Amino acid sequence: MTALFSFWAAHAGELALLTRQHLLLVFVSTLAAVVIGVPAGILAARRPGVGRAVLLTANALQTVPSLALLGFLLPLPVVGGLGPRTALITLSIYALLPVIRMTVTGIRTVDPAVVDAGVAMGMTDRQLLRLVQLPLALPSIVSGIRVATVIGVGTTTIAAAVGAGGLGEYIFRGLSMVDTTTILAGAVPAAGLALAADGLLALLEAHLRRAPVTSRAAGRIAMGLAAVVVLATAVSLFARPAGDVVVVGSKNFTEQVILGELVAQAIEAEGGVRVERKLNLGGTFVADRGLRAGELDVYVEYTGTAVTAVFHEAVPHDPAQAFERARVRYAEHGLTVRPSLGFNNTFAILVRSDDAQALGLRTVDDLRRVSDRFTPGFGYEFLQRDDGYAGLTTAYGLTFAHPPRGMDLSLIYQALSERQVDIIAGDATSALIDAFHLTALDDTRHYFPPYDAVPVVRAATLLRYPAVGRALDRLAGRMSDAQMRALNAAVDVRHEDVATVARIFLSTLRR
Amino acid sequence: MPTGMSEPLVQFDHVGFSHTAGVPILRDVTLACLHGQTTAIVGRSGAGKSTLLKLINRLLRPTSGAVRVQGRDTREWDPIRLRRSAGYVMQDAGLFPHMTVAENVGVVPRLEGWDEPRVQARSRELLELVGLPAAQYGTRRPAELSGGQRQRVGLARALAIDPPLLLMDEPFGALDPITRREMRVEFSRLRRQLGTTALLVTHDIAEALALGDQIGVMDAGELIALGSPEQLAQHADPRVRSLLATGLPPRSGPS
Repeated sequence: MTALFSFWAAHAGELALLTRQHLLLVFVSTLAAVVIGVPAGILAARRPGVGRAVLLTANALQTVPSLALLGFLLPLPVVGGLGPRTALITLSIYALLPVIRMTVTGIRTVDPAVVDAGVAMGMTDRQLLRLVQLPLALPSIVSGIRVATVIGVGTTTIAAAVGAGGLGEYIFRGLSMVDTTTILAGAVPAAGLALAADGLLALLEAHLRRAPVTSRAAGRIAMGLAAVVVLATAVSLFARPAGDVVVVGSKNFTEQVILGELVAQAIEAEGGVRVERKLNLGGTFVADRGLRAGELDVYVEYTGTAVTAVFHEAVPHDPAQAFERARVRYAEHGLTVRPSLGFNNTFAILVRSDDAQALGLRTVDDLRRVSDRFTPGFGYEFLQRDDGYAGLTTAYGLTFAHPPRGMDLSLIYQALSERQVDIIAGDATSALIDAFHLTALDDTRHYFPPYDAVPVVRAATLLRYPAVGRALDRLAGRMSDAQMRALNAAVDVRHEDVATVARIFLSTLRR
Repeated sequence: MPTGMSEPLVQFDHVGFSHTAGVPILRDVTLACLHGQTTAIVGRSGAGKSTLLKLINRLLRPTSGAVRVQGRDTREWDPIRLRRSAGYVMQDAGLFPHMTVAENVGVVPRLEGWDEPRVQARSRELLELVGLPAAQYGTRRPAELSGGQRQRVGLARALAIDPPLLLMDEPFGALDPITRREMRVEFSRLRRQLGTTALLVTHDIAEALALGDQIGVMDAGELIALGSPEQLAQHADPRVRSLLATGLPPRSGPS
């Protein structure tokens, strides 16, 4: 508890910013869902045929996992890309179903005698809707908005995966650091927001049920809401940071966040240009898309990952050749690969140290003797990649007791330590190797290619802002494997602040 | 009125009605409602009384024969215009629960595009007329009124733009016997005062006899008798006689 409060105290400014972003994302996406969902619900309520189709579509969209939807939208022009736009579209889609459903319910459950009265008074269809059905359906519509908002506050935590900010930043950061305090720092305020929104809208709903608004007031409210959503959408779509800004990205694990912060601070130290951070992006795919779309200017990639995961080629096992491959392929896309920072974050096959001692495991080859008793666990990316699981078992002739369990990278070390799995593929520079008493097995057959950490920069950015080039030169070749592990340990094990860790390391490098 | 006063305001000409592929609900009904007269249609539930009313303001269309209002087939009328020229009073009033009493009364004038001062003046006038002073009742919601008060508001709402025709579907059906009698007296007074033509549907023969200048008796979708209260008393049909017997004094109250 104390740790949580001191975390908030230390990050008060950031917490306020993330909360504001979170609220704005929820507000705009829910409003968009209302502006689309209420008319759709009205149509659905009045035309049963259309109604079935509308509800079926909304239902189907709801079942798509949120991260999958984000991944699908990212590469699309106009609607996709890094930042709030993609997040808003995804969130709006999730908010649609409750709004549509409760609009339909609200209109269909208006007392038929009252509707008959309206018709018999000589109301046209539209007058009936405006004067009778909508005002009477309003409490039900508000309860749909309430459900959408509460779900939205929760779902908005995924916005951080595409660099749209919000309280999910802390949750993703905490997951990658295996740090409960940081996770709670985001999760607790998000839960608080959800409860507050639920309470407020419940009050509004109860008030409307007691004292229904007249049709004219309802009309005015609807017009007001529509104006706000149009304005807010316009702002969120067109507001780009003005002036000289370099956007630094990173993927969503500790080392990447440290490297992103390090690059950002190094550029800031050169002066003359503002730096925007989009750290914690949801994976290689997201970061690469961002870079190519011009939404990122620079992030640190690994040569092996670049050649296989980005360009789908086989990686030369010689580090210099791998670097050259990556340089040539990136150049085709207007991207420049800068010299390596100095360390090689290749895969490490890890087992528990007590297993290693008891079973005499030193190399990956030794695994063959015991693999039929071992359950492997790997990150989803490792399971998919050609240079991942499939290649590994072929190269070393391994047969495991169970098919591999796919799990989130951030949980994999803990899973091994807690004996949920017996062997994992981790990062060679992970601080958790020592923290969880794990042993890395030697890759004697050189199955894993080199993964030298190299900054990838948009060529245009380098030309326009020479400070970026100077900053990256300052970092080049200055980080050994041990140094990277130490930085990771500072953040992952000792829970030090990323920005502080980066600042201290940077101060040890000469200008 | 575009047509002469001698022509019936509402004319049923061999009208039949059935839902698609259903049993006939109305069979060969012929009926004329003259200007200024109140026609009371009486019959048991399911006899087709409400269907008859709904054919007049085209909530339903006849499947055979024709219904004419002011000499014109309802199928040729613009349904919106037709409905606005026929005030409608429903059982249990059918008031709009989200509107105040005054707003309920002002609904049709507002639909007709009256300006706001005129709508409000008319609301006040009508609420006075039905004995609910606007100052006291105008801002209440229907839920805050008694059943009899709601029915009065329903009547005021139906009369708002002074329609030539008033359609009343069991208007006093949901009221207790004492309030019913009061409302009947009230209605007779109003009708004399306004000279409105009315068509009233009820299952209460006493009510029909008290209010109707002309009384129609319906049974299983057929109009089995039509005439003045006196003519009806002489009627030979045993079905009519049995119906009369149920409703004649001593009163049985609402069934």
